[in-house]
Amino acid sequence: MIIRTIAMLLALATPGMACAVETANVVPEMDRVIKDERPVDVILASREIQTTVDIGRVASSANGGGLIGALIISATDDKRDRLTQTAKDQAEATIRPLREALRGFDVDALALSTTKAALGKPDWFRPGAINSITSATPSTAPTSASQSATVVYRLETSPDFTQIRVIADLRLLKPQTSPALFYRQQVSSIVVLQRPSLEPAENVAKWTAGDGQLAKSALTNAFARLEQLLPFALELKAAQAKAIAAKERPRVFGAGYYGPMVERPGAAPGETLLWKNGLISVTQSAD
Amino acid sequence: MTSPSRLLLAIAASACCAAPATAQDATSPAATTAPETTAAPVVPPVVAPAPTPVAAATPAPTCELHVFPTVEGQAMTTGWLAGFGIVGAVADASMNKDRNINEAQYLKEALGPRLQVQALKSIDLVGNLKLQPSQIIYETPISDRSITTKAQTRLSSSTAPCYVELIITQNFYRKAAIYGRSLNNRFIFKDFRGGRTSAELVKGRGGNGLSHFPPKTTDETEAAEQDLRDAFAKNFVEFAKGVHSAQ
Repeated sequence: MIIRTIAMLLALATPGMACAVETANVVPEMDRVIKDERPVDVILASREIQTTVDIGRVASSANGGGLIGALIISATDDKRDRLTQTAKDQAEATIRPLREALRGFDVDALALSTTKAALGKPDWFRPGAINSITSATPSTAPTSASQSATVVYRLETSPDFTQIRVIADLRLLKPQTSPALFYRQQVSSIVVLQRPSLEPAENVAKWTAGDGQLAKSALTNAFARLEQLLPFALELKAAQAKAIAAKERPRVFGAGYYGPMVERPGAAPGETLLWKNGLISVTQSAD
Repeated sequence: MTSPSRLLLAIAASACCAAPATAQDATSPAATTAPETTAAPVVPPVVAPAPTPVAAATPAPTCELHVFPTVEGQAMTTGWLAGFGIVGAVADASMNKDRNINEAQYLKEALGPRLQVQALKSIDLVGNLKLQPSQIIYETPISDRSITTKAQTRLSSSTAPCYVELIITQNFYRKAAIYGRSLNNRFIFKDFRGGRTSAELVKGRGGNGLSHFPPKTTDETEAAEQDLRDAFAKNFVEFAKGVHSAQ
């Protein structure tokens, strides 16, 4: 019981601290209208679509030996790491055909055009020069700018390869202040296979068929959805953000996420917009 | 100016925060409807994909049973040494570590979602759960236990009024010095019938002994995997006995 309590406390403390996003998810009114333009950096975290793994729970090896025994066993237990590594290796092997099919597909251009169109929508935003950079290169925003924006895009599959996700991490910064970051919002656009298989390799085959036609259209649609959702996130006012994440709001499940429903249009089967530490849009593939 | 290290840190943080689960509602034939929500700006929808075609040969039952298999696979072997204080327990855990890893991996493959579905198809799922004739829809697994064990609302977009869910939440192989080998499964039955918007949950488990799993040689693989599937089906039947159908 004591061990379980300690483990629970550690589990509660660690990820929470590591993942805390301290910035508010609403652009403050006073920071919206500025005199100059906001230079924008667009970062594609990786040009290749990435895998994700989820190994679920791992049975504890602690059995007997009391509290001290359990602490020693837990400290030396690397089962989770080894199982995760194996799952990663398997996922990397499984995704290979999909990566091959997407070779040459210009995701950079999609990211740039999406950013340009999305940030041009709010009247007050006034995007300046939009530059594509890598995570290793410094920002192109001049230090004299009162504000700048960075959009980091991540492309990934779900662990079972039933989903293709494009995740945009939108940040607004004041380069002359410390800390510079004053707004951050993650927006996920997920396309799920309409007829998925329980076998990961079969799902990859579906995305890959016809020179990756389904995967390419999923990426295009996911970016198209982000073009609508990024301005939606930027335009949110405090009261609206509060209403969206309110406890009493109907909860909905989509693409492995469960949270307050923002929107579920009746005309589009399987399409859902929900809130789970950010906006998550779920649409179905066109297969 | 944003420094490269700051950007790298931020990317790492965003990767850390996005820990999605493995799931989706995929095979549901019913289209989604929109429940009432509080006012929020309306996002323009993207072009809607075509709905799943539904075969209209024979009328399907109006009730729906949605089954969610699990991607979990846990294994734990303990020996006699575990009973000999701290030193014994640590030695036992150390001795069995590799075996536990290998067996957990093997269990995930030998009783993965597809094989769970296969095992459930071998028994009368609807009859065991004492349901009225129902259409069985196998969904993709949901790995996030906070969703599978706590979510009170539907995990698919189906709006069928006669609707229930069966979720498998644990797949656990255990070998103990005294009790021998067994497969343990946990199940959740969520009943939305009678117009419920919030489910009535029945949680339970089933555990049965194994005689062939894990296989000692490759010749025994088939028998071992059949053994697993049989135990899984028995575990479900055991759980289903505790489900009292109210509707």
